[in-house]
Amino acid sequence: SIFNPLVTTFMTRYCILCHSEQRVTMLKAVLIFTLAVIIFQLPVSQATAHLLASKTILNEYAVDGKDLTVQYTIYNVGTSVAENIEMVDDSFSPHEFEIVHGLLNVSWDRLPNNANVTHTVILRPLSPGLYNMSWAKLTYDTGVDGIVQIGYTSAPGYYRIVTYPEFSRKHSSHITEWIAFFLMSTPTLLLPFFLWYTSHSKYEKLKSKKA
Amino acid sequence: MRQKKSSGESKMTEEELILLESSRHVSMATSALFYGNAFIVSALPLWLYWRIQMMDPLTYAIFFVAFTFLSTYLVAYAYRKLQFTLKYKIAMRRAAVIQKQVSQELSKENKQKRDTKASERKNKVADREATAFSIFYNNALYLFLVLLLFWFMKTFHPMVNYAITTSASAFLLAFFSTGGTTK
Repeated sequence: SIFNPLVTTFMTRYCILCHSEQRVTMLKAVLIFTLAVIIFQLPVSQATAHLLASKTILNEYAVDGKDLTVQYTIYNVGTSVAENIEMVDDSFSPHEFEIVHGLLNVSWDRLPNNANVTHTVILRPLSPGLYNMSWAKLTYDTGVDGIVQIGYTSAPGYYRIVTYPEFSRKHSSHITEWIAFFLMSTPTLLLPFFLWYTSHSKYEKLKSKKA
Repeated sequence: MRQKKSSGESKMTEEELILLESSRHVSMATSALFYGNAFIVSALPLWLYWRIQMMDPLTYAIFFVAFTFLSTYLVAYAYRKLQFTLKYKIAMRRAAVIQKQVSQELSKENKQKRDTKASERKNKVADREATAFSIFYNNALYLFLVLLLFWFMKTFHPMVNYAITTSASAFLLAFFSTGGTTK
C-alpha cells in the first residue's frame, strides 16, 4: 500500500517514457515482475553436495614405454554429503595406453562435505606422439530430492609422448658411457706416448751424460 | 760433419738433404701402423653416438662407415705429415749421441762402416720417435676436437652432429699437421 503510490509518483515525475497512466501501470507491472524473478532466483538455504574434481599428470615428461602417473582429486565444497560417487575415465584408449596399476572406473560410497579424496592410476603409453589428455566424467547424488549431478574433471590438455631414445639423449647422465669412452681412449694415447718417452729419455740422458 | 754455412745462405749439406729426402719415405710397416691407429681413433666416437646420441648402428651403418673411412684417411695423412716434420728434427738432434755410441761399439771397425751404422741407427731412432710422437699428438688433438664439437653440436640432429664432428675434427687435424717446417 505504501509501495504503490511511491512507484506511481516516481514513474510520473521521472520516467521520460511515461506520458500516460497506462504506460505507468505497465511499467509498474514489469518492475514488480522483475523483482519477483530476482527474489525467486536467490539461493535457497538447502543443504546440497557439490563436487569439484581435478585430473593431473604427475610426470614432467611422458615417455613411450615408461610409466605415466595420473592423479584424480575430488573435493566436496558443498554443504551436504555426496553419495554414490562414480568416476569414469574413457579418455585413455586401450590401444594407446596400458594400465599398469589402478582403475579408470572408480566409485565411492560417500564423501562428506569439506572432505576430499585422491585416486591415482599408473598407465604406460604404447606409442609416441601428441595425445589429448581429456576429462573424466563424474556422477554423484547431491542429497537434494534424489538429484544425480553429472560433472567433469579438469583436462590436462595436449601432452607429447616422446620416444625413449629421445628422452634418454636429452636427460640421461650417461656416466657409464663416458667412463667406457675414456677407458677405450686411454691406450691410444698412453701407448704411443710411452714408446716415444722411453726412447726420448734414453737419448736425452746419454746427451746430458756426454755434456 | 756439418760444413760451415756461407753467410747469408742457408744451404743444407748433402747428408742433411739425404736425411730430409729419406724422411719423406714411409715404410709399409709404418704406413700400416698409421692406418691401423687412424682407424681405431676414428672408430672411437662411434661409441658416443651409439650410446649417448642413441643412433642405432644398423640403421646408420653406411653413414658411419663412410665418415669413419674419411676420418681414417685424414688422420693417417696428419700422422704422415707430422712424422715427416719431426723425423728430420729428431735425427739432427740425436746425431752426435748416436755417432758417439756407435764409435764406442765399433771402435775396431773402419770409419766408413761406423758412419754407415750410425746413419742407419739415427734414421731408425728418429723414425721410431717421430712415429710414436706423431701418433700420440694427433690422437690427443683429434679426441679433443671430437669432444669439443660433440658438446657444441649436442642440440643438432645426431646425424648432423656426427657428420660435422667427425669430418671437421679430421680436416682440422690434417690442416694443423701441414703447418710445421723441417727447420
